[in-house]
Amino acid sequence: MANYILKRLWQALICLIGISVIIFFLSHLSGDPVLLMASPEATQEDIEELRRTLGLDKPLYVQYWVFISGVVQGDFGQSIKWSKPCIDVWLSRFPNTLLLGSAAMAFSLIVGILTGVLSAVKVGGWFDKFGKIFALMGQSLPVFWVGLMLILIFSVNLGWLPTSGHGSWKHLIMPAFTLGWYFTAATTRLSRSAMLDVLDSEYIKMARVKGLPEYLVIMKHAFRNALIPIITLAALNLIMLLNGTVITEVVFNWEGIGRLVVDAIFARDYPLVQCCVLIASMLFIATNLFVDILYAYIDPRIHYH
Amino acid sequence: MKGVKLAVAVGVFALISVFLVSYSFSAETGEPKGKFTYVSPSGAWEFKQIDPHTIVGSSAQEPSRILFDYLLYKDPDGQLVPDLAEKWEISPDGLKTSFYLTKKAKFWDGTPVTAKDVKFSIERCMRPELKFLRGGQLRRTVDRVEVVNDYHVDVHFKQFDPAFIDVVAEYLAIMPKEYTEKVGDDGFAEKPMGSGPFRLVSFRADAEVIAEANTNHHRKVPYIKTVVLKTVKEPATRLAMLKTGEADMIFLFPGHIPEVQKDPGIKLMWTKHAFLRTLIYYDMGFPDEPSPFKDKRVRMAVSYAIDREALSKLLYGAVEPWGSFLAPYHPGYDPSRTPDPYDPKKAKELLAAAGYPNGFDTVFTGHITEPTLWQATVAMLNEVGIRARLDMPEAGTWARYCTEGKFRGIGYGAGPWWAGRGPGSCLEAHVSGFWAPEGHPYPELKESIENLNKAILKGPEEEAKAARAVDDLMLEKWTRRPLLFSNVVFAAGPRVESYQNIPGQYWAFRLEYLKLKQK
Repeated sequence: MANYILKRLWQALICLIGISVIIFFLSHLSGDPVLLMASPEATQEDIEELRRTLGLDKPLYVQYWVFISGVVQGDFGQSIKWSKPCIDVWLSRFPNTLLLGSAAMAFSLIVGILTGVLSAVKVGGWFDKFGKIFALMGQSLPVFWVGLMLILIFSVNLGWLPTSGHGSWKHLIMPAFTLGWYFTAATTRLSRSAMLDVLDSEYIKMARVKGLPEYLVIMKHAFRNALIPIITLAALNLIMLLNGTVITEVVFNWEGIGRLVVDAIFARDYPLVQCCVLIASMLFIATNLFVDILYAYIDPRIHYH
Repeated sequence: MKGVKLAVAVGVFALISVFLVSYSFSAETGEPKGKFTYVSPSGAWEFKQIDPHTIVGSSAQEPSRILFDYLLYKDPDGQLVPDLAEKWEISPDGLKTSFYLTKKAKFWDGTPVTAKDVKFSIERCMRPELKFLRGGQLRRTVDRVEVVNDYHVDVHFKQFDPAFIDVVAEYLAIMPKEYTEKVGDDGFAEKPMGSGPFRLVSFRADAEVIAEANTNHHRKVPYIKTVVLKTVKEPATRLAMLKTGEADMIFLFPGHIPEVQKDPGIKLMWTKHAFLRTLIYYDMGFPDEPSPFKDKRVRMAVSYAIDREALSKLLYGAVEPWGSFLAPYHPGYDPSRTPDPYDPKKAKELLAAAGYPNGFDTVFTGHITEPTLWQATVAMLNEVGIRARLDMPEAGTWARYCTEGKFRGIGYGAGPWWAGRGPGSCLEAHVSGFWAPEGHPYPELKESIENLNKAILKGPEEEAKAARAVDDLMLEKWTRRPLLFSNVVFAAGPRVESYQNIPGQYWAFRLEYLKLKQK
């Protein structure tokens, strides 16, 4: 197991270096931040001076070396737009993203798994039909539309919830539901199909023949075995949520990572874009590794070589 | 008896007059009351927190405007009026501008605003590492700043800078020298101090600024006690906030105008003539390459093919047809200059006369922020045979193409969005620099602009005459064509009694004059 983890860490490192090269050169190809920052009256001389001040006059490979050697020491560089260390800007937004992501994740897991399991147990029944419609709507309705409809109903018409922003639990309800519903849909469908597969297996039939109570058959024997694909999906969803969800953040004016990255891209704030993408990659790799280890715990038959 | 009646009448009249005068006086000078929330999409005050000397191209200016004072200000007619400078004079050769400061102005900590603070602020803006938007211009033109006495400061120039007054009125926030030096640049950005009509209470970058009335302000003690500036990028969310009362005033998306008009509780407040949109013939910038647009008749045909009234209706009045390169608040503006008429028949005739009876293919470049406008424009051009392909690069690419002069065919000119400035700066932007990637093929136009810049020193009448001459020449040569003037629209909720912005401004200024209805 230790060897496996070490091997995965080595792969992760290579992967991160590759990502850093790609993101660095691609973002520099997309345009020049100096042109967005300069005054319309700026002369070529002013533009060059601004470029020097920002360190963008150096050759690209020198800029990359400065960037990557900083990253190794935990310094992701200075945001061009915010005039602050990129990591500080990222950290200022991450708690909001974590809060929204966790709430949406909790909602999607609780509702999705419950609906999926119950639909599988009562397959073909009214709850199964409801679950299918619920999942279909969650995946097919555009997130911005759901968000705006919620604002219209619960804020403008009923006056129960604030339209946007953050600060209290009331602010969290609509964005968490909007975001969570989309992910709930996939969780519901996957839980249902995984449970149906397991419930049809021989050992479940054996457990029933042995006279085990139905809740024990479902929760202890079926559900645990159906968990592996659900955990994989949940882990991927979690990473997506922690890296920010632009549309929901924009509609509900949630100050999260998603909005930050998009604004940074439009402002050609290369260091901030690089910082956010690298951290996102690290999170992705770390979560995948964690899930792989978790598989072995859930299913003792899994071995790593 | 008559005398007694007269005395009683005079007495009653005097009492009523005293009451009315004292009432209006107390209303004007009363304590600031209430909380006002303004929501806009522009949250670009993240540049070094709230340090106005780090402002860059796309920064919103509302926070700087409420927290800091400037040497000059603008009234609701768009004319320069005193702020920290009670009086200003430009020497006949243009190499010195003197500012005489008010003795009433104080920073929030009670320190008087003096000439040394003005000198410090101008010199600070010139520091390259602060990346101040107009720093390059100041470094090129300002020779030195001289403190004559505590309330008199002279700015000496290496060469006359006709746009300096624009910088003074728009960007040059005055900061306290001693405090800024004591806390340093980073300290100031975290905890700024100004002398503006509001004092900072709290600040979250790109999200929210909360400020309270400065009851010692020298020019205008605000009517409102607390002002909250919020950033919300989604237009529908801003509208929802206005409807629920979470916001008192919002920067309105023009597409929402019809919905707002149906709501009796919401009123529209316009800031007229914020920026002029022109039709640009980019191919004129390539004198050695053939192009249909080299023929003036083709350029005329393009303009006649566009129905400006229809475009105005499409955006519910957020743009209006325009026929001059000057705005009403510019000296020299002539209201008789009407927009080119919509005449597709004439456009086709002109094309045929120019040798294009079956039209031709070209590219129309529009800005990505207003696709509806440019899609409609392209459809109109296609109607007369100018088969234009619409290209809308995103903002960064657009900026790069502008600088590198890569645009071809025709397109929309965003110049200048800072129409509130003097006519010299505005007209110059149409013929050279960033906003004029097509350049200007007529040398007499450059000469005419130079005359205008010199005429500023000769007084308002001469300036107006020279500005009109430039406008005439540009219209005559068809280098580019006035198309639409953009108006900014705000929507205000039932609590707002009155608000009047500075014409030509994109941002919500003069919030200290905004009145809320009293309960």
